[in-house]
Amino acid sequence: MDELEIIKGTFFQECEELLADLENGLLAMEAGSGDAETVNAVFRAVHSIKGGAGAFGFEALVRFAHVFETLMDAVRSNKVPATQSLAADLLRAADILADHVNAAQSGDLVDEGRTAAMAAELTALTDPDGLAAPADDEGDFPDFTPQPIAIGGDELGDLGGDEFGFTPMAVALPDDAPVADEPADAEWEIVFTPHASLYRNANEPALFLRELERLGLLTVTLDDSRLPALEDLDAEGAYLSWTARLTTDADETTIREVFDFVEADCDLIIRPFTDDLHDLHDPDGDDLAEAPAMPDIAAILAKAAAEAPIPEMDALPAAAGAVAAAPAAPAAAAAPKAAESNQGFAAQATIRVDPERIDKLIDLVGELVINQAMLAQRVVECGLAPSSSVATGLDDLEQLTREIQESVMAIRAQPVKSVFQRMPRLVRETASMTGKQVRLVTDGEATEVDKTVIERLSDPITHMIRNAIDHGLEAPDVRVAAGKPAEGVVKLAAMHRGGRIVIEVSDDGAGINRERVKAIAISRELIGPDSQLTDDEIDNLIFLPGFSTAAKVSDVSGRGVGMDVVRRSIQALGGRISIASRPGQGSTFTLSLPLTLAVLDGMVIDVAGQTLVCPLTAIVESLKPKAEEIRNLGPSGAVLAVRGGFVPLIDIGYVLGFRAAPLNAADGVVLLIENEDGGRAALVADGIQGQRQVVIKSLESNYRQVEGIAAATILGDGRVALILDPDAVVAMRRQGGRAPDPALIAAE
Amino acid sequence: MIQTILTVDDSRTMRDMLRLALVGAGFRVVEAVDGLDGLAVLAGERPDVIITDINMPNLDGFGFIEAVRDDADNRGTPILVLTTESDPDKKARARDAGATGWIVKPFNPEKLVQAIRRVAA
Amino acid sequence: MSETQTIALPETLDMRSAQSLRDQLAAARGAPATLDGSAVRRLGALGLQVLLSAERQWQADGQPLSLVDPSPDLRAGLKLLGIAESQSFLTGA
Repeated sequence: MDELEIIKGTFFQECEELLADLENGLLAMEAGSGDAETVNAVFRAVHSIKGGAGAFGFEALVRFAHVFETLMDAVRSNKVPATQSLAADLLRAADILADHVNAAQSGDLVDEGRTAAMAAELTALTDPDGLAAPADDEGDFPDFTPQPIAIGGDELGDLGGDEFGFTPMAVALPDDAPVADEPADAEWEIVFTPHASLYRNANEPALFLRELERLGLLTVTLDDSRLPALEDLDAEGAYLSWTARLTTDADETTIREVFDFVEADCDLIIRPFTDDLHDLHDPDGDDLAEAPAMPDIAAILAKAAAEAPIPEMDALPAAAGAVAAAPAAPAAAAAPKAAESNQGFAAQATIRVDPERIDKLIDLVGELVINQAMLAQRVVECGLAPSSSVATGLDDLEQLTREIQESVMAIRAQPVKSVFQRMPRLVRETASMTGKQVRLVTDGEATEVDKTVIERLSDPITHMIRNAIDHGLEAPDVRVAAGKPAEGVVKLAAMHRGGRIVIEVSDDGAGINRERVKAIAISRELIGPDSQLTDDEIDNLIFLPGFSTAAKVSDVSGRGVGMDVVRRSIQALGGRISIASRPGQGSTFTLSLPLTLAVLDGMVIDVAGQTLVCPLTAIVESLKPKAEEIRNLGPSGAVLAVRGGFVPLIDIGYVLGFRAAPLNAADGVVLLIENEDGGRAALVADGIQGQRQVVIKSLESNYRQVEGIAAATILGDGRVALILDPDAVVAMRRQGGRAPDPALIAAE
Repeated sequence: MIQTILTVDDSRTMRDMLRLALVGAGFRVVEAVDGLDGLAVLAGERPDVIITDINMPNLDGFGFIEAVRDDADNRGTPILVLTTESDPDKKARARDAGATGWIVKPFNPEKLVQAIRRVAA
Repeated sequence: MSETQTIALPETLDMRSAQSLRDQLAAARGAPATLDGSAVRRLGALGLQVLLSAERQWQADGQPLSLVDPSPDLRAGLKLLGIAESQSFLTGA
C-alpha cells in the first residue's frame, strides 16, 4: 500500500522530532529545571513513538518503548521521583530508543544485550522491590493461573445453580482453555437493561440491537413496564429493558463483545436459550434485574495483577522539590522550548515542501543568473550604450534576478540546530568512552545556513568535538590537580561573520602541547629540524597529513581520521579551519564556511591567459605593487612590503602549473588574502577583470576534485572559469617547502 | 449522507493512519491536534463521531471529553478513545469522563469501523 | 372540542432531542394530539421512551394520541427496538 509507505515516512520524521523533544525534556530534568509538564512531555514523546511503532509492527521498538513508557508513567504519576540522576539514566535509555528507531528505519539490528540491560534497569527503576506485575501487552501474570471459569458457581450470585446447566464459558486465556461451542447455529437469549450512565455517554441500545441483528436471526421484545407517564419522566433516565432471541453460529464471546463498551453501564445476561429456561423465565423481570452482569474476565485478570501491593513511595515531596529546582544551565532553555514547540505546533502556518522541488528551483534560478549575465555581456558586445534602454532594462533584470536568488536561497536556509542536536549524545558517549567528565554548552543554534552546507557540517563538527574531549580535555583528576573543576566544558557555537558562517568548538582543556607537536612533526619529517615557527604555526601543524599525536590509535578520534581529513573536507566546501590554543587553558577550533554552496561573490582575474574567479570574501584588498615594494629572497621566492610588514608573494599561475616560472609581481596585480591561520599572502595574477556574482558549479560532481580549485562557473560569455581556493593555493606553495619563511623575513 | 468524523491526536502519524482507514471506509475526516484544538474545531463542525487520543498537550483526552459532554451542541455525539489494551483503568476513567467506547491501538481498519458502527447510526 | 395539536417529530429522535421533545409534549398535555413522524431519520431508545411515556400520559388523561405518516426509518427503528405490531399507538394499536 503506497499510502502506508508515505505514512511510514511521516512516522520516522515524527520520531526525529519526538526524540529531540525527549532529549530536550530529559536534559532539562537533568539540569533540574524541568517541571511536571516537562515530565508529561517526555512521557508523551515515548508514548507516541510506541503508538506509531505498534501500527507498523516494529516489535523490538515497541517492546523497549513500552518499558520506557511504563517508567515514565510512574514518574509522571509521582510513583517514582524525578531526580537528576534518574534523568541521566533516562538519557541513556533515550539513546537506545533512538537506536531502535534507526534500526526500524534501516532494517538493521539493535544490540540485544544493551537493550536487555537497559530494559532491566528501567524495570528496576519503575519497581524497585519487584512487587507489582504491571498489566502489559504480553499478558504476563505470574501469580494467576489461567483457568476456564464455570458460571453458576456460588460467588457469581443468584442464577439458580445447576438447573440451567451452563457449559464452561470460553475465554481467550494464554493456557489452552477448552474452546466454546461448535460453529453450528444456536439459540441465545440476551437480556439487556441499560443504566442512565449508558445514555449519558451517548451510547445507543438501538445500535447494539442492530449489531446483534448482524450476527443472525433476531427477535426483540421490549419491556417498558417501569416506564412512568410523561409528568414523572426523566427524559434521560433509563426505564427500558430488552429481551432478545438470537439464532446465530457466533460464540458467546462474540455476542458479549457487542456490548463491550457498556458492560459496566447495564445489566446484561447472555445465555443459551432452552425451553427449561423459558419456564423459569420471570415475566416481571424482577429476578433478572437483580442478577449481576456477567463478570468481565479481562477486568478480573487485570485487577488480580494490579492489586499486587505497590510499595509506598515516600519520596513524593522530594520529587516535587527535585523537579522544580531553580533554572540553571543554558540547556534549561529546553523546557520553555518544548512548551513553545507544543504551542507553536497549533499556531504554525507552514507548508511542507518536497526538498527536491526547492533544489530544482535553485538550479533554475542559478541558470537564470548565468543567462542574465550572458545577455548583459552580449548587449555590451553589440555596442549598445550603457545608458540605452536595453542596457538599463538589463540592469533592472539583474537586480530582480538577484532578489529572486536571495529569496530562493532563504527558503532552503535552515538553522544549524539539526546538526547541533546530535551532539549531546556524542558528548555523552565520548565522555564515557574516555573516562572524562564533560558538559556541552551550545550557542547560536538558530543560525541559518543553506541546506547544502548543513549536511556537510555534521562530520567536521563531530570530529572536532571528539578531538576536544579525547585530546583536549584532561582526565578529571588531572584537572582537579590543576585547580580546574573535574568537569570539562566543550562549547559549540555558530554565528554569522563577514558573510560566512563561523562554527567554533572550544574546550577548557590543557591546550596544545606545542613541544610535543613540534617534535612529532619533525620526527615525521613534516618540517625541518631547525624550523622556527610561531606558536600559531605550530598549532596548525596538526592539520598536516600524516599527523597524529596518539601514541596508539584511540578508539575515539584516531581511527584513520586525522585533522587533515577534516580540513580537506572543509576546504572542499570552500571553507577554512584554524586553531587557537592557550596552554593550560584550552583550544578553540574555528571553522568558517560560505553561507551557501550555490553562489559566490567573486573577483574575476586573468592568470596566464586563463580566466579564474577568486572568492571575494577571501580578499582583503587588491593592489598594484610597485617594484620597490618587492623584495626578492632568491630561491625562497619573493615578498611584498605591505604597511610595514612583509607578505609572501605567490604566483597563482605558477602554483597551478600554468607557467614555468613565477611572474614578476610588478607586472601583474596582487590580491592580498588572509589565511585561515591569520597569516597573510599576496596572490599574484596577471590582471583583474572585475567583480561578479557567479553561480557555483561543482567540479567534483562533474569532473573530480582538483587541488587549488574550489569549483567552476560559467561566465557571461559562455566560457568556463575555475574558482580558486586561495588557502589551498597558499598551502600548495607552502607544502612545496618553497614558501618564504616568515622568520627570515622578520630577520631582514 | 456521508458521515463526518473528528479525529483528535497529537501524533501526525496516528492522524494519517486514521485518515487513511476512515476515508477508505467512506467517511469525511476533520482533524485536530489536541483537546484545545478539538474544541475549536467543534465550534464550526458537527461531526457524527469523535475519535480522540488520551495523552495530548494543552488539553488531554479526559479534559476534552468532559468539555464536549458539557457542550449543549455536542453532548450527544459519540466519542471513541484511542487506548492501549492493557489499560482497564484508563478505559474506566475515559468512561467516567463520558467516552462512548474505545479503539485499541494499534488498530486495524476493520476493528475501527466496527467500533464506529457500534456507536453511530 | 379542543383542536388536535400536531407535533412534528424531529429528524433525530434520541438523546439529543429527548429532553426538548418531552418538554414539548408536556406542554401539549390534556388535549388530543397527533405526532407527525414523516421527518424521522433516526429513532433511539431515549426517543422511544419519551413517546411511550407520552402514550401512558395521554391514556391517563383520557385523551387521544395518534401517530401519522411514520417514515420508513421510524418504522424500522420501532421494529428494531422491539415494538411489535399493534403493541402501541406507534404501530397502529
